[in-house]
Amino acid sequence: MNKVKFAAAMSLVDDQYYEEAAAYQRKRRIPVWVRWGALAACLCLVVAGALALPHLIQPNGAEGGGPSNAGGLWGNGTETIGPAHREDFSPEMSQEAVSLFQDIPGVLKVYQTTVDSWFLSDSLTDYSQALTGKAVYIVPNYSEGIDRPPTGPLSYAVYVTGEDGTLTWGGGVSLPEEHSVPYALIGLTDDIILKDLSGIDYEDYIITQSTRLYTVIVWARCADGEDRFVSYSSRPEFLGLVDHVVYTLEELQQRLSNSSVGQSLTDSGDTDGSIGKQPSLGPSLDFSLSLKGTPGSRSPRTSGGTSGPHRRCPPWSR
Amino acid sequence: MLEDERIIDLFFARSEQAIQALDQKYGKVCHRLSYNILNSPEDAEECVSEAYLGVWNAIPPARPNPLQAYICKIVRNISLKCWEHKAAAKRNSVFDVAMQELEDTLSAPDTVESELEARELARIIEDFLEAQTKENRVIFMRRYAYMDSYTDIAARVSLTENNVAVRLNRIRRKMKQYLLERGISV
Repeated sequence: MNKVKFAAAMSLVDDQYYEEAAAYQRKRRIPVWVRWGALAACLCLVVAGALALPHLIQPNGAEGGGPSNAGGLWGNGTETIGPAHREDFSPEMSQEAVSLFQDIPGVLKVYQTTVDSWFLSDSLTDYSQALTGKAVYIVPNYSEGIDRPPTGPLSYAVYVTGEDGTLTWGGGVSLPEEHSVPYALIGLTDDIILKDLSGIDYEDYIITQSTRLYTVIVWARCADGEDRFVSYSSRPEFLGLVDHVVYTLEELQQRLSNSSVGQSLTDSGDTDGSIGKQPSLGPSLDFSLSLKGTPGSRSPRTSGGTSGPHRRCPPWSR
Repeated sequence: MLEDERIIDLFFARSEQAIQALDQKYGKVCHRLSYNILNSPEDAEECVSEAYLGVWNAIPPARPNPLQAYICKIVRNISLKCWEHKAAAKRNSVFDVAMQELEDTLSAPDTVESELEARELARIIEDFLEAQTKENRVIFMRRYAYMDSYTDIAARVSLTENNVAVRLNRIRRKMKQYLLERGISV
């Protein structure tokens, strides 16, 4: 059988299937309760954010500051490597996300790593061990939220899922100047990932981020039992990784362990998954991040440093 | 827009308004389908016009129901024939890409199963589709019958392109297994 015969057969498939496919249109209207629920949740978060802000901006080690490697909206970074739980991860967006982002293209569902030194663990046999089950949604072009005007292609918003499943704006990231993409999550699209994975036979892929390594790792789950990984990093030279290249888990672990960041973590004795300090990633990273609930955080970025690129400190590094 | 039955009545009455009404109601769908196969607006226009002529000649006596599937199939067949003629020269339409995805599922031409009638194959595909969820059926049909792009399918079924790509990948695997189980070498 060849593709022409298949195409001919498809022409002979019963009309009912053509009709069904022509008539199908999944309802996209946001339910009223979701709209009002989102509004109520936003109000609650603003209040909660205002109350929590003093704790979030405590410097490392300061009283009330929480773990030094707190990851803010990305997760608290205190978990350790656990048992494999592959079934907890799905590339499909939640119903809430589908409703909320219905008119916005390029939204990515991203899972977070529990700790950024996961690759140093000897007990890691499955990448799911290094991941939290919580996903955030990356919304390109709207760093200030989808209810605000677009902020350009070199920016994105992070939407987090609340306890009740409601998605709310959690922060925004933007590059202050032109930059080649993908740059970690900035400019990353499913098309890029699909192209990079085109040479392998995989079931599906999960987008993950190792926040403090400023690295996106796409986890392609393969039927042959040997998963593959592609990374998109803002600082690949410090991680020993090459963007767009497909690695096995072993190769990924090996490269990260041998990298300057891996060595830095090893030297600090951080092999149990609790990073003691921010690994050195060289020069300051050139993006800005605005935080939910921070007064004035949605205003235009302020200039930082003298060399042009700048970064407003994310909460986990304060 | 006129009801399908009213349009067919116009054909039966040999009214020139029949073509206009048909074009008004289904022209966009037909052009898109043909364009997805041929990747050329001019060729698509030509194929759709040819399809309208085919409908004009077929009605009466035919009284198709549903009309949309009927006209879409005619457009599809004419467009595929046109594509076959131009296949050597062009390899960049959505149809090409969609068919390329099936290369792993389908074997090379001129093998034993080349005797298998397209109609029999269509029946097996129908059985396979029956075993799928409605959403998966729609995704499959939109891709391989209407030749929609991932972007268009994603918009229709409110999924991301990634979701659509993954779903299609799984459906193709299942179909391959389904065909193998029925003795169709793939």
